[in-house]
Amino acid sequence: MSEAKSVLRTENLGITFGGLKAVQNLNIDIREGELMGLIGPNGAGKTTVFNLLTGVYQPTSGKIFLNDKEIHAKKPHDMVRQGVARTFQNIRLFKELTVLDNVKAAFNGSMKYTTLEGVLRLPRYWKEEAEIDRKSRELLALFGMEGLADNIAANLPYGQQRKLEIARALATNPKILLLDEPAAGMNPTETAELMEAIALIRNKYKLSILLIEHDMSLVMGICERLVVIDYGQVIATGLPAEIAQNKRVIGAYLGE
Amino acid sequence: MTNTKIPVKSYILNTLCIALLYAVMMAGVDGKFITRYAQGIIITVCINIILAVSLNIATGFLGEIALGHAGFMSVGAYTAALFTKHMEITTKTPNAWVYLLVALALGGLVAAAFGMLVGIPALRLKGDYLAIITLGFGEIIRVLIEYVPFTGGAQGLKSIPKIAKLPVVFWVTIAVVVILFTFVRSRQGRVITAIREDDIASEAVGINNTYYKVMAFVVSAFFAGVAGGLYAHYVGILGAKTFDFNKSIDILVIVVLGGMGSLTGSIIAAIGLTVLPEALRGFAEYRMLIYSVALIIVMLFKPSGLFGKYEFSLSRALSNIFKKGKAGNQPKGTKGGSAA
Ligand SMILES: Nc1ncnc2c1ncn2[C@@H]1O[C@H](COP(=O)(O)OP(=O)(O)OP(=O)(O)O)[C@@H](O)[C@H]1O
Ligand SMILES: [Mg+2]
Repeated sequence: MSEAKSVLRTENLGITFGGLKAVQNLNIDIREGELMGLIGPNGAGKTTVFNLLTGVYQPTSGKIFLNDKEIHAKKPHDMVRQGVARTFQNIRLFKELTVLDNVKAAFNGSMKYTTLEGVLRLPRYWKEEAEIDRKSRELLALFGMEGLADNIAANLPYGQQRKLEIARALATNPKILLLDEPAAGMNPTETAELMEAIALIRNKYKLSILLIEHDMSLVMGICERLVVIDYGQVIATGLPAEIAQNKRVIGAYLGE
Repeated sequence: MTNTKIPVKSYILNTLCIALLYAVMMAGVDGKFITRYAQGIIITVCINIILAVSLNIATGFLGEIALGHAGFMSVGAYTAALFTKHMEITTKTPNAWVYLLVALALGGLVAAAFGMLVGIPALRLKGDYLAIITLGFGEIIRVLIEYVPFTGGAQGLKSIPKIAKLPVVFWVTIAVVVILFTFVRSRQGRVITAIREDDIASEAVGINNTYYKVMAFVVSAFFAGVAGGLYAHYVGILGAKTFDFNKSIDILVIVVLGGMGSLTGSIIAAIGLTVLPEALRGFAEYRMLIYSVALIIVMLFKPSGLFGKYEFSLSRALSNIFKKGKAGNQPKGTKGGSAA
């Protein structure tokens, strides 16, 4: 593992809201192809870490490195162009658009035809639209959702909405995917299916994945390495088996 | 649901239909069924259609309340009128419509430039800043027009050549509607509706919100300018008071009534809300009342507007009828040929 290149790394990353140190001195390093778990109790600062890594919040201290290059004050859409994609804890789909259009919208960055070419329906419009249509359906098929392409996103069952959000994130062609509690609200079968799908896409696209999960037992199974945070600070890093034995982690989870 | 193959059948069908509509209309004009007065109503309907579909881009598809559409219309109107006046175009100038098209393009461009000026600061921020800024813009532009000398000031701009005749107005309207239909069904339109649905998610899939929001708003302003240009060359005289806040609200009412996010709805509502007050001319002073009541009724029974986000498609409608007809004649239930 240690020879693999670093994809996303932070150095003493921190942010304060008013007086609240939501995240402090965060040092994590996600390697190429790695599946890392980010866990911690409620309000530990997990989502805030994602918001820092995706440019939603600007850190008040520390640095972020993408492929070992430091990045400064990027907007969320810039971060996506650089290969960082995410999903949200409270699902954020384009609700009134079709399932297919949700994915197509995320392919926008890889399309080149101009407004004029689109309005006049010039050849490049037809070529790119046909290509994106095919690619979008392929992505949906990966999650067994090809039959739902023409449904309105808001009408999907919860589990499918979560999957669609991941499919949409993949459409941006990321190097690293940040998943914020992707299994929240799913039943055990759905969760198992989802975890399988995550393992599959990771191999297929050679992705690095940072996965937030509330439920420790769940991440134990699929993550190679875990980072545990509490009150905005890392309290443990290591292999799942080590983390399971860690006294501080057990303490944090039992609320001591 | 963009088709990814060229829908030739549907193109031919729509073209034929528009040509037929035009032929019937012109036959009506030649045969004196359509009087001068009726022609005026059709032209007004056309101008209102352009105003409504263009506002719908900003308000329906992008989801930003804009209260200054009349302001962009006035910018286009004055620009276009000053151009044809400067060129000394008259109704007798041969091929005057060509100059009109140039004037409309200029009017659209200047309106678009103002749109950019207003849109960039307002649309960078989250929240309803655009509503406030466009409201201010509409008022400022009106005062400005009365203040600067070259617009004719408070007396108004007079003797603009009345070269916006029915045929050119008709074809410009068709062109605008077609352009906006293809615009909302291109990647740009898709992105704009995605921003409306969730602006955090759109950024999170790599969409530069500000860029596309400004694009939608500028497109909207451009065509408001075009509508203004037509208006100027239809009535022949401009006064800043025509383009007041009430005018902006009238257009907004059409959009809300027809359905935010439905161009079909805007077209139908523009026709209805232009023809209806004319039909009830005796009650001119009740126009606002009729508007309000119509709006309240629609809001009560169909809050998303008459058409919601639905778009009418001729080829789809025909193929549905066709399928139903076939199904009746096909006891074996083999698949009917489905048209695009
Ligand atoms: N924009 C903000 N302004 C002020 N405080 C914030 C903001 N965002 C997060 N916080 C605070 O930072 C802390 C960490 O929140 P965060 O959402 O990152 O936790 P979390 O680990 O994701 O929790 P959960 O498991 O409930 O999702 C909380 O105390 C939260 O109230
Ligand atoms: Mg969270």
